[in-house]
Amino acid sequence: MSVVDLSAIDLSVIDLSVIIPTHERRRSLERTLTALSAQTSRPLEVVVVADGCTDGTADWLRSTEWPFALRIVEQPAAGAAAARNAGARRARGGLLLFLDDDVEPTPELIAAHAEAHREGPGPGEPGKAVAGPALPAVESGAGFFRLGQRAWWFELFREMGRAGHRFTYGDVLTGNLSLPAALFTRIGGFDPGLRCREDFELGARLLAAGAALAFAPRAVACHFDGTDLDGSLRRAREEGRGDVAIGARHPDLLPALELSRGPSTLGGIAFGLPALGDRIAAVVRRGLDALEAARLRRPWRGLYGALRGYWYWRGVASEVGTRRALRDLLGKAPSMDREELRIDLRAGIAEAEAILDRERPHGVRLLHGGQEIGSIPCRPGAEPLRGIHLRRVLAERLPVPLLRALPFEGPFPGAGPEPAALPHPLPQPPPISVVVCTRDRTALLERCLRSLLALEYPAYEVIVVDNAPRDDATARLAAALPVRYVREPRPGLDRARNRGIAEARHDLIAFTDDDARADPGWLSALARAFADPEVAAVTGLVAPAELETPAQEYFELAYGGMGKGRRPRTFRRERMKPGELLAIQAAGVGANMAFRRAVLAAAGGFDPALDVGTPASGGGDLDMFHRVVAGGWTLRYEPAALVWHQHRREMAALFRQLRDDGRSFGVYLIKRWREGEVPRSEVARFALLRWCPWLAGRIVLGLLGRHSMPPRLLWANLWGALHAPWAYVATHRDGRHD
Amino acid sequence: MPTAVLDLDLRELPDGLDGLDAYDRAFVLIRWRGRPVGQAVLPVTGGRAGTEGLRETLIEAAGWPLRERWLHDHLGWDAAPPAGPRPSATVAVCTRDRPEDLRACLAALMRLPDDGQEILVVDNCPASGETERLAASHGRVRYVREDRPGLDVARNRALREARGEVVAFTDDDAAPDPGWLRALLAGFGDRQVLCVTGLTLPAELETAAQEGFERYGGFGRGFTRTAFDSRSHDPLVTGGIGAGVNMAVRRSVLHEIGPFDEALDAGTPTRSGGDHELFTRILAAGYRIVYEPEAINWHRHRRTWEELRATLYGYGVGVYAAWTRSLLVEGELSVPAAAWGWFLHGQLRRLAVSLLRRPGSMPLDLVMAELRGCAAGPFAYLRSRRRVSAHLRAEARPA
Repeated sequence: MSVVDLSAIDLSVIDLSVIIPTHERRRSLERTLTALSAQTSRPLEVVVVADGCTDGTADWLRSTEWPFALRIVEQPAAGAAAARNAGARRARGGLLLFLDDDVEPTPELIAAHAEAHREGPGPGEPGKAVAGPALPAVESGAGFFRLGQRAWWFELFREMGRAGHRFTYGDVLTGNLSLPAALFTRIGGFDPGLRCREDFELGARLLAAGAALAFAPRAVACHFDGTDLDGSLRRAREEGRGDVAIGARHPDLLPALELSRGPSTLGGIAFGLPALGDRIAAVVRRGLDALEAARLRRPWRGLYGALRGYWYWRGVASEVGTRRALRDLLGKAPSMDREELRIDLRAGIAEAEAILDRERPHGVRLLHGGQEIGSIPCRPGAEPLRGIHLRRVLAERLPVPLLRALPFEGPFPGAGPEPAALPHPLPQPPPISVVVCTRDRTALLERCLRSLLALEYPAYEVIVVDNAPRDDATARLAAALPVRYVREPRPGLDRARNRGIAEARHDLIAFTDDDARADPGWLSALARAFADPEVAAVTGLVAPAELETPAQEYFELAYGGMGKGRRPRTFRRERMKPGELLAIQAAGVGANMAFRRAVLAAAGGFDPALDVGTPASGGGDLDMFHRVVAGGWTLRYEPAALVWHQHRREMAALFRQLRDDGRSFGVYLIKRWREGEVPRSEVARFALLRWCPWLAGRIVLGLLGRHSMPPRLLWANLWGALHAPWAYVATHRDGRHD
Repeated sequence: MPTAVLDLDLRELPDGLDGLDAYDRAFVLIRWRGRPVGQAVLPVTGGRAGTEGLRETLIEAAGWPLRERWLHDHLGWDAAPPAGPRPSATVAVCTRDRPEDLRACLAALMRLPDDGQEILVVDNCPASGETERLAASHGRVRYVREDRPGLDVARNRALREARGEVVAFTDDDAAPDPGWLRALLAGFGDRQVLCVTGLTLPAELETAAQEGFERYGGFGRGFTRTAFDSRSHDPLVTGGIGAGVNMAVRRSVLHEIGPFDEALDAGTPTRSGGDHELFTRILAAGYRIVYEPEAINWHRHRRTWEELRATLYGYGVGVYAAWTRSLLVEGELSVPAAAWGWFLHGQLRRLAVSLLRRPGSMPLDLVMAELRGCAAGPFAYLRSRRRVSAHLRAEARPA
């Protein structure tokens, strides 16, 4: 035995043991060992595990002089995983470097691995595993398969070397992998029962133990992959079986495995009729050669994918047996509802990165002030998040929501060289005029105004339109606050709104009621919706400010309240049926709406004939929504634009409100009828087939005791509706419209 | 309608652009902190362009690449892959009897920052000694004479003579930007990349023919860096990847892929196509080509309409000649399918639009020129090959 022990003499030896399992590949092994002899940094030892070698590998190794300490371990054929474990057991080095016998290291490989380990693991991490690129060797005149393989390997290592790459268990490839011996022992080494995917399985256990994964781009090795197309298909079968074993052992990894996607049609045959499937596969295999001869690349790739998929599922089926067993296996996957950490970027990028490095969450929801940017979802099999992942996700996956949020929420500190000096190429948040029409409700108005003054928006004005007031309480209130005050002596909500439009200085005009309170992000959400130049009007979500009395609860929970749902919707005439165009109350309410000035001018202002305070109380907003949409403009319902409404506390007031609602809707329909823009037949059909049944049906249900609202309230709508024709005539006779 | 060509950086915009009395429009290359992000065409009124909101107009015209670049700067994120050590480079200019153009080209090359690159002039079949004298007047320029006619012949000579690992080609009627070479070389950090192409913009748009060339046959491929490989891109359709006027290849391409086909490109009956044919071979062999818009080259298009027509005819010949080679020599049996696809979706549509005289359609004489070129392509290739073998036989014969 000629083992040259250099560790006593040579001080530049690194405390690293190279472990190479080999099986009947003497020439290849010779290439690897020759390359190891030419390393810039010498390893402590090289352990070659001859796994069932009958070609004289062990004897040849013993009879040759090597410039490093060589240990030879012989064992009967037990597989690469068992061989590596045996090698690791015999190794003395603090670091273990696993190389395959078909991999030729470049001279810097060991130095690069050692360098990567020099920086120890982070706090709480039991160790670090470092992978290096094993680039496929170049050969000319390669066929489609070889070219595809090469491209696949290059892409894999290119991705691993990219900044911000989130490592997964699939990045652990034992052809060129180093990790501390202590870590290896701690996680229990390779699973000798696996013939394939044993490296992924090791990776899964490394991640589960909390170890870090890293990539050393300079630890380059040349991989002489001898697999040909048929070999890859055989391997696919082994991969199928390996995946089943991994899935059984690590159920949390199941969603990441290929088999969780379910078998393709060809793969399904593997379950039922494997013999038939094998014959089809053989025919397809010949077809593949024909496609390659005809140089049809894309069809070849498609067919190869299908064939490989078949053999993969053949492997899965041979392990799992039946489809039901597969379903059971997949059913063991734990639910993915993991807690997502919320991070606000307004505090700065550096701060966000520090939070990620500290908390190491699995999933993160990113916000910028009030605006949600996106999320980094939990990925099974991937390492928990770190600070370095953040910038890449923001730059590559979330640039659009980020660019939309920045003008409104401001640039965040700690990002980029001179954020203040960079000119803003994005539209500035447009100034908005907020109009609040009020009539003798000073206490409620005060709360409303205070909420408006606390809005988080850079440029807006508040206009209080005092409509036919009895005293000057509102005037005094407005004088004490930085709002504009305007008095509209003619009573009528729509008149007041029109006055507000006339007084407003900006191009965007938002309305809210005096019994509502705006959420701080209200205007930001409206402005964001208006950033789309197509949008002419925006309505928002109206939520209850309190649900303390039964009347409020009935209104909100049984009647439906004033909110129109949590999903944004776009209303465009082309996409709506006439019935939907009439049922425009689904678009929003007057307590939370905003328009472009130009659209208000073109559509013609609010119609004072539909005013609260006149016999026809309160349909002006519905009428405006209808006119906007029917006029061909786009109306957007944006639930992010939030306003809190103070519902009526007393039952009597609620009755009046519901009655007024019914009446105003009736007047609105009559106006539509008289106007004739929507065909009268449609209006009639809507009224008779949709509205009346709705009104009547609720009463019937109430009488049967099936409705949650008391019958008296259920009558209110119908009562109001019945009064609608008189109310319409009355307002027109009074000459209310001008 | 002459168009002025301007190069503006958004951070140092003047209030308005003056002194454009001779022009009706201005073509602007928009940069952000020195890096190109877009282009715009502005009207010129009374010798002045961009009176209202020059910055806003340019920002709108630049569009998404500008916003993305701004965001990446704001985040401190560098989208480019790590560059690695810069390879040694040779800049090669293949020229034939155009000393005036070459003068401007060499002047631009002298303005490149000196990173130790070599500058090589390959003089192809010169009729006089002008080029040699011009090259000699610049101390740093190395002169090589290639007597066999053909642009690809000259390119192969440049590859063989070059001392750098990477050879960057420019045409003699083009003048590169100062940052051109560095931008091209940055793409070679990835070992799989054998070729990097750049963005070519017009140096001037004085005549209708130059504007026509820019619109119908221009070299611009956008402002977003793209990597091409055979998985995402059909190797036979390489027109969108770049052009030989602005490309860099590793010298190892000679033995990994093979030389440029000497039967193709200018100086031979096939007139063009040598660069695209090499791109096809590079992609088919599994390597990558990167399009790097920051490597800017300013090309002076041909000034007369006859030359424009001849150029488009040459393109038609070149594409089909390159395909003929791919079919006969490389055995790419999918050439007929690719040719049919191009004819159906590209040429036929252009012809139809042109016949219907839609606004903005390619003039009919240019469309017909290209189609005539396509018809002549395969035979031109065969003729050219016969000439090449005749030449080689003549050379091999003992004198």
